[in-house]
Amino acid sequence: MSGLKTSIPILCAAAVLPLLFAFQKPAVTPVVYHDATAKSGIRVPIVSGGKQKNYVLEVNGSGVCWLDYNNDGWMDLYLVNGSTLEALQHKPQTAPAEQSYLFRNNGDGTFTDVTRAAGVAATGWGFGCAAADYDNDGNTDLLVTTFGSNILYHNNGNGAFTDVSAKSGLAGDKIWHTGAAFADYDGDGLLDVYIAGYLDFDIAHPELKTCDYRGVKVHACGPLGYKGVPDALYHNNGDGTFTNVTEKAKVTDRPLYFGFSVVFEDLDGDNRPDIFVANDSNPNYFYRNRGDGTFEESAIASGVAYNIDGKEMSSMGVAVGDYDNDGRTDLFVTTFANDNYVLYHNDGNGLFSDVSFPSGVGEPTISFLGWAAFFLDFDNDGLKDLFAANGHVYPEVEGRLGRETYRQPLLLFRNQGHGKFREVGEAAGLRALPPHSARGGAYCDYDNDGDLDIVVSNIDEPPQILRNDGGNSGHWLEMKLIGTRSNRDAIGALVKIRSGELVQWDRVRTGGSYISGNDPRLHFGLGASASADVIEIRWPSGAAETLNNVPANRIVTIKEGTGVVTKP
Amino acid sequence: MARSQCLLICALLTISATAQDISSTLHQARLFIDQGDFEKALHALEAIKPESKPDPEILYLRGYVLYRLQRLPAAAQELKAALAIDPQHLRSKYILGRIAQSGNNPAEAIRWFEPCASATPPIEDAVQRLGKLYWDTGQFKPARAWTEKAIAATPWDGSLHYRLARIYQQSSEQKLAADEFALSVKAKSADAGAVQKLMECAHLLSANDAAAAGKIRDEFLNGPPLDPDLLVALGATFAGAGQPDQAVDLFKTAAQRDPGSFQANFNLGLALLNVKRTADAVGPLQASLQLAPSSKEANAALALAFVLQDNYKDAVAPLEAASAADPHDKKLAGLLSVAYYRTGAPAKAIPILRNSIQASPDDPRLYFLLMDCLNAAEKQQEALEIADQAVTRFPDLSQAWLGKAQQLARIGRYHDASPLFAKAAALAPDRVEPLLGLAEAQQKDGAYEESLATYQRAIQLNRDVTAVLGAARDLIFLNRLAEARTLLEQSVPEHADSSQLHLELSRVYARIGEKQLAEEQTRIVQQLRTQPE
Repeated sequence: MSGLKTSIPILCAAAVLPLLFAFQKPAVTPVVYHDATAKSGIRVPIVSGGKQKNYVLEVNGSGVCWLDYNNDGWMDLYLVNGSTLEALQHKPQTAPAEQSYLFRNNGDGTFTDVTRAAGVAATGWGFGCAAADYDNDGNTDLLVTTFGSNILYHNNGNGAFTDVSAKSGLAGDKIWHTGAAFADYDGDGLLDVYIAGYLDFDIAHPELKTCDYRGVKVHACGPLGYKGVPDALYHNNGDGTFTNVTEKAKVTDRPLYFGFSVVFEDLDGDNRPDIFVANDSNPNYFYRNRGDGTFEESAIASGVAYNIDGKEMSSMGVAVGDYDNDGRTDLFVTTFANDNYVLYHNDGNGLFSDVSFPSGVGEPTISFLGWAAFFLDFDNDGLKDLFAANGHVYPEVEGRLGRETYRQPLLLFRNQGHGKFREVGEAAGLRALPPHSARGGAYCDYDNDGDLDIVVSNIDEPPQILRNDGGNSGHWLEMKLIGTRSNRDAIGALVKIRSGELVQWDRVRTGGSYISGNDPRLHFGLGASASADVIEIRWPSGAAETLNNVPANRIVTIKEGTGVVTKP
Repeated sequence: MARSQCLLICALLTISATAQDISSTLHQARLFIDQGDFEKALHALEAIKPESKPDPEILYLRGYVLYRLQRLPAAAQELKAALAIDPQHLRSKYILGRIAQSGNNPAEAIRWFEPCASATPPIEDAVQRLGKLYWDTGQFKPARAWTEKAIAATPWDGSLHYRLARIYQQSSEQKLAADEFALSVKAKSADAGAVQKLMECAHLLSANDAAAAGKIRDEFLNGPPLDPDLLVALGATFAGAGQPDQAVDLFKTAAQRDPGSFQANFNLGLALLNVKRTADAVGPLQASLQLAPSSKEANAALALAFVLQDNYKDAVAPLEAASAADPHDKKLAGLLSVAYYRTGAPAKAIPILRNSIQASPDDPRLYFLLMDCLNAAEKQQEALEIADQAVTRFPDLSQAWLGKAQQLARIGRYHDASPLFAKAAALAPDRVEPLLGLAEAQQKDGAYEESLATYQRAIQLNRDVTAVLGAARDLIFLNRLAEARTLLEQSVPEHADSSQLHLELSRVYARIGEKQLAEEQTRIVQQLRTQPE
């Protein structure tokens, strides 16, 4: 259900005024996603080369990021856009330069294109994005990865950004960058960045390949057959600059795997952010943070390099969340067609088990080719559900490989408890939507009504805004965390919330999904509980904080060391 | 009289007068033909040509005369013109058959002779010629039918008996062959002495007197040069007696003496196939196919030679040719389907197999192969339907249940697959495959205890690495890490090259806190997986 900007109070103090009681609906209300794209006013097509898809560069699409760039309490949307070979080959007579877009959330279900005013057009061939306040000045900055140099936009705090890529040292080599994520890996209160590299594509002399995909002749062959390009870890120096510490931190991508989505997350329970990289057609990386500024790669022994059969997958996107409320963060990886998507259960100590089939996410995903993925409690029952956006890379397969189509439906898995999921896309209205070849995607409560909406970036088509209607029939609580000793975005902060018997965990993080960024605020469904009995926060600085009896159905802002605040 | 009526009457009188002239000229021409004076006959017939309407009989006679004068292209032109007016003109077809035969074009000759031989009564010696042509081109089934028919018409012709004996011999009907050889001897149409020895050799071989038979063989090979056909006949006798190794040299010598002999080359290829010299068989079989490109048997044998060398790509063409020659041959259809499947063209195999199943619905192998092809052609749902049919039709066959279970597993329906794997395992308790399928399905279904028990049963049957890996994974799921460690460590010496085994071992070591051991296993996994295949 969409909210009205004029009805939303400024985020409240200790009393934390409720939003609108009208949002509370009877529990029997079914949760349905409605296509709110037309109303949103977002009509820009996402370009990714030509429609024919002759080259691997054209098939991977791009990401999206939710961020509140103007600190008005409404999440704005950054859409990364691709380009065309002609444009990159500097043939402006045949192809105009493409640009990415920043849409300001007007608070009434509509958005306004503010790209030009904000100065974040990022012309070139964009892929991923990550939004975070890297300089702790209270304004969310924006990193855009591209086929070429990365672009770091510093938020000036006045609605405009400044391109500080060169000065910051984050531009990197002119290679194909994909996923990016911010986190303070060394606990110095400053957000560092990990950026994945994909493959070495010669834009000046692209080679038109032809290969056989399950009996169908296709052209966008790859990534196998190409040389990879390296991932990089950048340390934040605290003066607006970053230093490439890849070697020093021992996260060198020596085999040059084809990196896609990246996330920082404490996966081994030692309160230090580790790094997970979803690699296409290669084993995934799991860098465990040793706490001394270095990492050790342990994906194989940890059980997340491959699937249960010991096979490497084409990992595209990664969802991160504690789906069984055991206090340990689990992983879900989307993969290529004819490989099921993989759910890794965190068994503790950074050790995982592939539970895709017993959990119910294996079978329904075999024929799909997945990209964006995230855990979200779409029905506010206190259990994190799963969403996956799908679409094939080869348009040529359409109508020729049975269930394996180019445009594919979105998948929504409802968490039924006890580690079981059931695909409910039909009931949630997703099957009623025309299928697209989706790529990036992220969740966000963009209408601040207490349930999680979704944006999906579709290749060669405008994105889709999917509004959650009915999800807020269960109680909920959303929180924006502000670090003081910690990084200001509190990225890495772990929140444990208890409401009656229900105990949940979540962490503030960037990255993940498919080279995208979700709503940075934490969202908890509370089911029938009208309040959270206890909220425990472990800040990245190590400080702990506890809040008691926080009423449900509101968005609260919590400042490190202060508690709930009215103004950040 | 009106002018138009006058014109009509004049025209009728002219036609009548012309018809009378033609009739007498034809009579004259036939007289010349009977006298063997073909030049004069041609002259007479050519006199008719400019002033008459086309008549198939005149065209035929002209064609015949030209044929007798060895002016073959012109003859063929006249005869075909006759057939253009009267497509049923059998004598024209017969002469065209003779022309094709003399031009070493057996396929065309067969096409012309077929209607002539089938006519009642047959035209000239078309039946006999047809039998010979089929024999010469390695098409034994029709060769036999037409030769038998020819013998019925001319039982005194020893050469026909001899040929029929050879045909019987080719199809391993030794008794019939012996009778026909005897008849041919009586007819004195072949080398009676050699044929006697040939018969004697057959007798010796049936009496297991290999030494005496070998003596005759040596005489044939080392004595005065014999008709290569007799060498082939003796070779066929040995081959028919299950001694293809003794036949090879006979066929080889025959092929050297008469490289144009289909029989020598074909039988040499066949004998080499039988002695498992498959690569050597290819040459002679290809040579036989140059002489008789449409021979079903030669094409099938050549295809088999390729298949036995695992060369399905080169097997496709001869299999297609053989299958075209006999579309109802089930074995050929099956082999062609396998070849299509193995060469990445499963879609081509699907209609063949569907037809084969219609014709032979009780052959389960066809269902299984069709399922494989449908899967390879990305038609999983259709494959599942075939799997259903197989289970319904062959409920007592473990493979049928296994096929359906595997089909369900392939599309991720492990829960549904479990009971079918169990049924397959119950029907074939000695087979490890259903147990492996059942165990995997149980594991994917989260039933780790049951899966472990099933894998352990599989290990008892065959300590296959798949079973060990599966059991280890179950033990890890069940947190029975010490047992997992023991199982994997014990299996490493046997399966040291299995990266998956080391992968599971690294997981176990990591879980029991043996960090260094885990790292060592990880390194082995990485080494094994980066090694070129």
